[in-house]
Amino acid sequence: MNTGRHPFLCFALAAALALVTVSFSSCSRQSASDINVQLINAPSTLTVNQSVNLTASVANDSSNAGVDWSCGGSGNCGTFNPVHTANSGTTVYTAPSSAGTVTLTAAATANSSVKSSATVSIVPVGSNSALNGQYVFSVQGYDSYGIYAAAGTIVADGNGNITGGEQDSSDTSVESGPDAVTGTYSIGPDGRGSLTLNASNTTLPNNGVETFSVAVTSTTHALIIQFDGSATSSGTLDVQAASATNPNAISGSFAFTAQGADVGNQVPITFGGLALMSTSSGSIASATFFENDAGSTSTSSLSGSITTPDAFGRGTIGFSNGVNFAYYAIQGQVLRLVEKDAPVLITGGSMYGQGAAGASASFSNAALSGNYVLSEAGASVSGSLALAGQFSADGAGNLTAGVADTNDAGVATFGPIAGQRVYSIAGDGTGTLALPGTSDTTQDVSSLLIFVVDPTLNLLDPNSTSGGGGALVMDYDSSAVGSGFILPQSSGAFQGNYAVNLSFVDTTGQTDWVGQSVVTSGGLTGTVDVNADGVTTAGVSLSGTFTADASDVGRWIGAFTLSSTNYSISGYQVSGTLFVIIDTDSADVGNGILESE
Amino acid sequence: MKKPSGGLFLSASIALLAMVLAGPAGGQTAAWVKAAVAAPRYDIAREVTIEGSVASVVTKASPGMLAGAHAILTTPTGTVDAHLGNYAMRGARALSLASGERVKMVGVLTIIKGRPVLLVRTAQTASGLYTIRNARGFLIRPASATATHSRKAAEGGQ
Repeated sequence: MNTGRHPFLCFALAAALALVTVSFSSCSRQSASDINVQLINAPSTLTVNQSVNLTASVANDSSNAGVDWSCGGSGNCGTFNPVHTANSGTTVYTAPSSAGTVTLTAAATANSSVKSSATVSIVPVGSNSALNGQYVFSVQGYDSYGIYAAAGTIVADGNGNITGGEQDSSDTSVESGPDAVTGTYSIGPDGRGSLTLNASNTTLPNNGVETFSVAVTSTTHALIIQFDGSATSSGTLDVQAASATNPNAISGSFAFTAQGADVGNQVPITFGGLALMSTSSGSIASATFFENDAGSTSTSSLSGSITTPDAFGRGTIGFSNGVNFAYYAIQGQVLRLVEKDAPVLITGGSMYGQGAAGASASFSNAALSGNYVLSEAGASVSGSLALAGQFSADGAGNLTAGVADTNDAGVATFGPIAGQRVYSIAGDGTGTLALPGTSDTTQDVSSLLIFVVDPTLNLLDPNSTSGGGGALVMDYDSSAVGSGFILPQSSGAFQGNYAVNLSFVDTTGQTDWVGQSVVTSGGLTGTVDVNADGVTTAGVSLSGTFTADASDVGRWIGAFTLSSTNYSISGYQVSGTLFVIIDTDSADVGNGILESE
Repeated sequence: MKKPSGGLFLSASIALLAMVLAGPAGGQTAAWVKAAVAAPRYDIAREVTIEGSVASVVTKASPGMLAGAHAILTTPTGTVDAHLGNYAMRGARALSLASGERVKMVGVLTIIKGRPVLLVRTAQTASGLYTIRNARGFLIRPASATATHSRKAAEGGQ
């Protein structure tokens, strides 16, 4: 309600003192009954630390003085940046770090008594109720016997209990599964938590007790690392849709990649390709199977078999070349894979449906049209390898712009990747992408295979209804082995709560982080759990700085500080909710993501 | 049939591969992939053998060096930076090098950031022969020899 000074009183005073050169600033104010403020876009709910753009309009303010922002509530009520805006200008409100109720107020600068307020509930990012239902987990890393991969389905009750599920795992010692699992979990208000699974197989490391650290991004998705002394790994946890157990839904043409080790020769290996599968018929009618075994590349036209999913969305896939997987379906068109060929081959990966274009083999170069982010991780003859970049594709085989950061065994390269006739996509969605020597000083990475997926599928968060499309990537070089993805790129604000997961190969072996961070303008603070080759440390402080690369919009350059150790980082913005990160240090090679909560 | 080993299963690396592939989408028009595979940077035909003494061992590489361990060798023709990678000097069967020790290393010389580096495939020391890379130059990552529990024993020695 407007409660400004009375206009008649001002007029009378001014008239009476007309000959006196006294300034009555208050009388110059416009009538409060005329000024009106409207807070336009306040949400009813925000998560802790979440940022949101707010706008307020001021009507009938002849001084055009703008808006002053404030908040109230018990304790810290959050911050505004800036605290004063012009009429209809935008401020960024960042919610406090604890849950509660706050009141956001936009007041007319011309008259602070004229205001518009909104009540906002500040809710935790996470709680035990964030996990409720069947979820598929998938991780890859190293245990005390060497490389390992695991995947499974767990049933979370929303109250901290894993009431059932099953899993498959493979390392150089034991190929196991399906093993029944139960367990417990706990998710804190910042979205970080812990998940402990008890697999019914005491021959597994730690007698089958597996502990994971978790960073929940939503009720349908989380990032995880193994967090016990038996192994270190990174992976994901995704809610399982009903279609995961429907045989008719797991059907059609699928793109896939899987990465791990040729254990017999103790070197890295990657598989990839396409498979036309039908669980209802139990067959893989045809498949194109690419392989890169430590630089020895090959392709085969295959067939195979697939079993129907069980109650946990698990089945098996067997290719006619003898490569076998257990699969866990997140939904009918997204499968997590664990290879079942230990101790000879150990890989983990994913399959994604190709949609209508895959069924009709009607893909073309137009499947890549627009802006994309590219990421790959693996190994080269120099050592560990990570690559991240972005490009603009014209739909005709040309990259009209693009840059990439590569860390090849600690030798970092940043350079252009644009070029004419550098990619080509066949009707079935198989394609090639050539990178120039400028993308990798050591020139190990140049030839990539791409496998286009259904444009409705989000590769990193399969239950998300946005951000779909892109392709799986497989390195097809004689000097490099790796896999990754191409994701469509869009703009968006880089601020608020982000889950963070990075995986490094460094002097201690493999190190994995997972946790939660708050991104503000140019900076990041957070807390992560760290597993450095089996040595676990919980609650490590993480900070960081970022600067947008003005020359290559979408790329960010900065540094992370974990405890007292600094890491040089480049980031590529997939969207406002997702950033692909690459570590560009000489001492370690890593990659990961920031994903909004 | 279970794949016996990746090495036996695979074809040799090729310089240019042109493939006509049957599309997986229900017998549709054949898809094609033409992947130009770059010449391997590690070409076993270009291997050299270098004999010398260990001047120093670098376990944490400096900026511009390949990550992982390096042995700096003194040879009659000068100093050689020999890259051993992340795995050779870790674990129970780790390669151990002492300053002044005579060694013979086989590998391919390459240029990294303008400096010559020997990508070491094998290292012959007084204590034996260590294989660090495979014939295509990829670092061998042995199954960890630092296991802290005995799963084999739990399985009855399988």
